[in-house]
Amino acid sequence: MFMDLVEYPIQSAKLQWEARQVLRDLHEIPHLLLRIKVTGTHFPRRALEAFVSIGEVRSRFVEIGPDGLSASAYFDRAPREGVVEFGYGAEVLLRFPVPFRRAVVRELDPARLPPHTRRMASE
Amino acid sequence: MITFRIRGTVRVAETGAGVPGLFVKAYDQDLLFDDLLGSAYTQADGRFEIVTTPEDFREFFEVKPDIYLKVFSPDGETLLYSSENAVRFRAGRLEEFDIRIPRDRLGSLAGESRVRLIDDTGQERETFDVGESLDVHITGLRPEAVYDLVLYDQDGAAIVANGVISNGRGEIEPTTLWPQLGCDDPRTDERLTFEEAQERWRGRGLRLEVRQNGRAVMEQTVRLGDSFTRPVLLGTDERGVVRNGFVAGDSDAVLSAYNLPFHGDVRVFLVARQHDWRPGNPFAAAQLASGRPAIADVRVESGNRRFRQRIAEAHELRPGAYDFVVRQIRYGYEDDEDLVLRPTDLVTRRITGLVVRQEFMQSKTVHGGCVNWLPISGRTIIGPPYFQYADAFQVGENVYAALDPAALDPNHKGKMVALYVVQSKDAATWTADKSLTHLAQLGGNPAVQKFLTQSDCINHNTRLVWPNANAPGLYDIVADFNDNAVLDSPGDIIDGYFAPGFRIVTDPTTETSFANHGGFQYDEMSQGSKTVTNDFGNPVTVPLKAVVRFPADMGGATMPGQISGAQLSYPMTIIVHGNGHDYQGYDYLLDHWAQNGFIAASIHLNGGMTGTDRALILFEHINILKGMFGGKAANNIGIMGHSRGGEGVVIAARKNQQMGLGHGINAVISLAPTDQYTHETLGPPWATPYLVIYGAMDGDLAGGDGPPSDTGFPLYDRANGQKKSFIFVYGATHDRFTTIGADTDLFWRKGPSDQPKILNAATHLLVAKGYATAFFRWQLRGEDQWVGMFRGEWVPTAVAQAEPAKLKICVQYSNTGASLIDDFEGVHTPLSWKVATSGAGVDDLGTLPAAPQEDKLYVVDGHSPHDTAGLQLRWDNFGDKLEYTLGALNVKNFAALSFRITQKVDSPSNPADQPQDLYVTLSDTMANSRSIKASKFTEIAAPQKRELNQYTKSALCTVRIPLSAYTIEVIGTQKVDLTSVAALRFDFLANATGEVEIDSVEFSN
Repeated sequence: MFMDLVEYPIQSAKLQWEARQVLRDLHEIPHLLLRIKVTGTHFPRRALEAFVSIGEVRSRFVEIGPDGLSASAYFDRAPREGVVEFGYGAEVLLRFPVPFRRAVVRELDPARLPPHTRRMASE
Repeated sequence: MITFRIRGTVRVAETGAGVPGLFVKAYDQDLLFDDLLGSAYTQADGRFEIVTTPEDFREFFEVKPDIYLKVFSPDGETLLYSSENAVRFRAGRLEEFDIRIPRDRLGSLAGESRVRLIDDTGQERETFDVGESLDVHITGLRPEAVYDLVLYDQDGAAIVANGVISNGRGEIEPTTLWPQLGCDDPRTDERLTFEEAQERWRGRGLRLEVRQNGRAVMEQTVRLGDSFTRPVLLGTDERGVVRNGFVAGDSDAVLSAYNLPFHGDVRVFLVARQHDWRPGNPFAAAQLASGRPAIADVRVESGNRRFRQRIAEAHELRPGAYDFVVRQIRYGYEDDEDLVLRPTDLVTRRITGLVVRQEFMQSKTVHGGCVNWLPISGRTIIGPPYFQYADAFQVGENVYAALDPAALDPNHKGKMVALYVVQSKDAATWTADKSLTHLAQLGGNPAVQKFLTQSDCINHNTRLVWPNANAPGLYDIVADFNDNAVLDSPGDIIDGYFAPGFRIVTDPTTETSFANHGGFQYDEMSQGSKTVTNDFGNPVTVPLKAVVRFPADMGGATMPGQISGAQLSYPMTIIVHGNGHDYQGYDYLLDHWAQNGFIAASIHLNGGMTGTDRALILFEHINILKGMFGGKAANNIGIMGHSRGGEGVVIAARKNQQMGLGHGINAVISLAPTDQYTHETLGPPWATPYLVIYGAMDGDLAGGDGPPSDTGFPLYDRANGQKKSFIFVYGATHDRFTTIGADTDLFWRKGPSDQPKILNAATHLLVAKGYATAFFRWQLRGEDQWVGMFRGEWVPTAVAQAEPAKLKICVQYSNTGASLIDDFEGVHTPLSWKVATSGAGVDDLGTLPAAPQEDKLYVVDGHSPHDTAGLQLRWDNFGDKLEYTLGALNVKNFAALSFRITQKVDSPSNPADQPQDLYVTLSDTMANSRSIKASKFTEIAAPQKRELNQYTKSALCTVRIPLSAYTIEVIGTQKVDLTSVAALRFDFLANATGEVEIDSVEFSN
């Protein structure tokens, strides 16, 4: 209803993110990635790929949760800080009120990572 | 148009199994050249059908074909069979053929005759490990026949014997022969630790015989490995002896795991049981009574890949059936968060991991009584939990049985159980005769399937009990533990007794009686326009346009004169759409109704029209249709309105009577109706049988605070003087019942967490097709077989199978002629609840923590959508009650005790997101009494929560308890004299606390 009046990107206090480092096997090689999990609305599955951006840095890929109530974005570059946004294709649709800072990321112990882990590039 | 139908089955001669995929051609033999009448491929069960017309074969004065058939391989190249030498001369309009082709002619097309040993993932295996389940899958047998599967040890002693039935394709579907192989001895009560079982069975061989009528027809060797390497998960005690079923409070939940394919950190989840598990299935740790999730972390050493771990203590375990999921937790990976089953996870797949039984007597239908009535009949479904208990099956559907593992009488562990499928008996017949007669079409008593329960529980297998069930009727299933062909209480389990266990019935959602429908549209070019006055006094000029469908003998009919000649006349059904809807968005209903023998139409209304104007335009179209179809259009009309149309059709029933129009409106359906113009009461003298369908996720008419409006409930509550039913569909929206603009309200008044609960569009259409069609067939054609749908007794198959994880239907039902006890209307005071509408005294005997409140329900509960008074009450102890003193009421001639009830939204007294329950007690003047558990007949469901909570509804549903439940024989309880009922009492014995609203307490038909 009244979708023509909506101005994008939508900003709302309901939109939240949390960040942690995770390991993912990509092409069977462990990769250390930054995962940003966003919540606060329903994230539909669309034809276009979803993305999350932190400043100028864009996620490598995004997975929408089974119930559509979260989206997990995986970065292979670790931004220092920036505005967090969500969208599909090239279009930004959501802007999160709290900007990203690297200091809040739950980091993994480097000593416990598997050998040959591909590490993130840093800004 | 005359048609000739040529039907039949192509089978393997030796076994009778149908052969799919063969190409069948039918010919008419003539003097000169034979005519090809038609062709078809055989279906999965070998059946085929060819339809032909006289034009296909007529030569000279030939009026009937002389038919022979040829059967070819699927590519049409190889002739396998011909009946050219056995022509069926002067064939009738329906001819059946039973074609038998020897296996050696069919070759590989006959399918393989083989025993496959499989594990519980379905993989074929040659060797098995101790602790695994030994399953078999057998093909190439006679269809719908009973076989015995006997497993012998290498000394030739029988270990296990199972009776099974083959399906319509001559296949014994995957069946567990010996769950947790070797960990117990099915012949004795002996149970072993895993290590003891390994020692005993290492390297040994077993022999499986497939026997029919005492004769071995197939054989297979089973070998146990010399070394056991495959992962095994077992519910055990602390010693490691299998113990996977016990009464709540008796034991801790302990998992023993062996031969793990990984080491390091491992997490164990205790989860709700499913009948099967596939990668991709979501899971969640069970919530324990202590409040914590049932999770345990274990460290597995690389040199010793096994563990034994307590997952929950005895006092924490709630009754239920559970599975174990074991996952390796790798540092840094998301293994702890991604709660979706992976191929690398271990899970107790088809064998239930753990069964925690509630106290035996608490599960019984009659409080203190010993009849063990539980759901048994069901079907396999696609998607978790892979099995669905069901009470209604489509004609031709397979009926399966699954015994609730939590229901086993502790005295019957380790015993053979025989599954009888019998004609359903009424209360009087069961009381007089407890003998069991297995259906003749299943082979009678000699063909009853038998299998062994495990040491602690029945926890394996869904069993096919009736393949291709093709005899409509009512049936019961009995699990006979004494194998004496008698229903013995308390030990035997019955799906039936108090009400029919299951029924075989045609599905109104899919069944059609006409193979074809015709159709056309008309518009204002031929019918003109009509000016009417809307509810605001404004004139509205409406072009008279409609889509029309009608029953036809052939496809392509476009004229009313081409209506089928099969009947003298046909009832009419007409749809009145809502605001913003399109009259062309209901073709799916019109097509179906036409093929069910109705003249069906959907009429155009302008945007912005209200209620009364819709009714007036409807009358115009009724006249048009009567004119077009003449005597073929019976003055027997059903009208269905959507949204504003839902209110409009109720107005139409009144206006038809008040204006003396004489239209035979005999059924009214309101689909997600408004109640905003005239606040109609569908009652005498225009009372009409009435159905309301409304979705719990309706975004356009969501209701909310204040006096009830804008939902289907007030119209239903006010309707009187005729039978009525309300179908409340969890997950249904406003607009998905139409195909144009179906997602308009998808996001209205909904939050993100509502989206996963919403049914897809196809499910909405099935609900409308099933319920509207059945209602019209019931009311316009007198077909009583559908009444159970509208009492909440069963759900049509196609609807039940659509999104079973999301779909729930809560039903209200009422009929005339009831003996009302209390409807809570009248003057409301703090003490008015103490005198019922009937004059009966009402008392809580000092048990309730606060006086019940009698008032308009929306006054006592802002979440109530109802336009009715009721009683809100709360209890906080087992033993709380509310009693009606009736004197000596004779209710013998009534069928049921019924009342409407709902959980109060957001009450902390109700179990969070769980059904509520209570007992209903009748006592007679001689102090005989019996208490019946309400949930055995109707679920008092938790309200469907909406993220915008003001739209969550305390919606009443009807509980109907057949009065025969109070008189049928139940050991340990008294029979109530229904000619002299002294008291009716709500006993809150099932849950310690609760808060509900009650209305419409009555004895009804």
